[in-house]
Amino acid sequence: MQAFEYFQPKTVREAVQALHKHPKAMVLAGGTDLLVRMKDRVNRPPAVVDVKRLPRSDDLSYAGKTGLHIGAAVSMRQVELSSVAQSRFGAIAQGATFVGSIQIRNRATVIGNVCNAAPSADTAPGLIVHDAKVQIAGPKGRRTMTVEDFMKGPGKNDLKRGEFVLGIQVPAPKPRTGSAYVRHTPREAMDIAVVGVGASVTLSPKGICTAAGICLGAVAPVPLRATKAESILVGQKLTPGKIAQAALVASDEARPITDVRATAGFRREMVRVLTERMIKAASRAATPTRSRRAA
Amino acid sequence: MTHDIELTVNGVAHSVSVEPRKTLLSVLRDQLHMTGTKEGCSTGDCGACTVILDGKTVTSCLVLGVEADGSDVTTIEGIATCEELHPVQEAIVEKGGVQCGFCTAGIIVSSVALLNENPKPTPDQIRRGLAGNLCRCTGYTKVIEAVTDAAKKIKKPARRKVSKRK
Repeated sequence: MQAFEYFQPKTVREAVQALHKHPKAMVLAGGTDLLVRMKDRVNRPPAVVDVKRLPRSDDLSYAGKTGLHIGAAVSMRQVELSSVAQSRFGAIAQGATFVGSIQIRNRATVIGNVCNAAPSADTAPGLIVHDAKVQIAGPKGRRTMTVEDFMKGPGKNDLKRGEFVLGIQVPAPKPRTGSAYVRHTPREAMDIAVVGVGASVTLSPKGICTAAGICLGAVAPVPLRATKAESILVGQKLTPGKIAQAALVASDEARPITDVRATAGFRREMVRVLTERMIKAASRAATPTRSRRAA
Repeated sequence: MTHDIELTVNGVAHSVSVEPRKTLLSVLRDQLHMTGTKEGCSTGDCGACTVILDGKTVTSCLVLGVEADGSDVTTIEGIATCEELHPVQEAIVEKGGVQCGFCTAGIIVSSVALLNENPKPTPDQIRRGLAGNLCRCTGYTKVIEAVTDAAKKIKKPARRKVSKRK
């Protein structure tokens, strides 16, 4: 690795100042992507600003009004093991579980996953179907935007010069909401998604779908929301036929490419298969356990 | 510019002056001369450099030394006592869980951490727990048998009595 200056700000203001003073500095969270790129000399930042000691950076907490807060230093492993993430934000917790190994998940952060903006980022579909927002700090103050808008292309995010992500806020899901994420990989671990699908479903007391989210990973330059497929589900009872129809539409909405991992055609077919499974898994998670037992 | 950091390695406090670009792995091996931790891929894929950092396993090739300031580190050198091997180490020896041995330090550190978190793992949980430790000799079966055996050997620590104060 080339030499660089290292800053470990203790306040947001210090972090903003460090990034202002060193315009070519890069932000370090878990480092599992950044340090690899620095070793390969893909990135040669003259300065690195570590955000792990900022206030609340390791905060992973849930409140009924504000939802789930994921601080900038919160690791994949923390989210994976969090009971509130598992129970209320299944797609996000499951996405975190797929990443790398335990060693990597102990270090890698959810925020880093979003900032690096890989189309295959495993936590992105879950965050997007849960309408998560990134909290950004910078020289002009703070702003928020949805994770969906924030991820702009492979490796590209919406951060402007001097800005960095402080955390992610995920709204509290409505009652009877469930979500799930799965990915396809040739290997069971230490792999990158060929296709990933996250889905969320909110049901009325009578079992009508009142809201649906479907987000496809690794089949477009960004994690792609399958809005047409979502609209097929809303207002309907989630019968096997409806779910299959939505899955087929989602596979039409995907814009996959052929690369070393899979052909475009295979990816499209996997979108159909996995979307069907994830809508079913999300609606199971949305169904209260009592009525599930009765059914 | 170097940074002065303090870290505890296997219970011993150290003060080290480190360049920001030096990884924790490099600090351990080159500055503290503890060469039990191995460098394999140096990209976080192989797990040969696994250490326990503040209770959690990490690939020390992807942690900067400066990031570990104030931390508590356990390396392979801290797993056995002077008198005896850790049950995981014993089991690895007994089962023949070592071939060339380069991945062994990382595998043992990961296995010890795994058993600390989950004293009775299933074979599937062991496989998933060790997914980040690659063995190029592909000697996985004996390792999984060894960890299963070690779990049986480790006696449950005696429960401490919690004195309730009013």
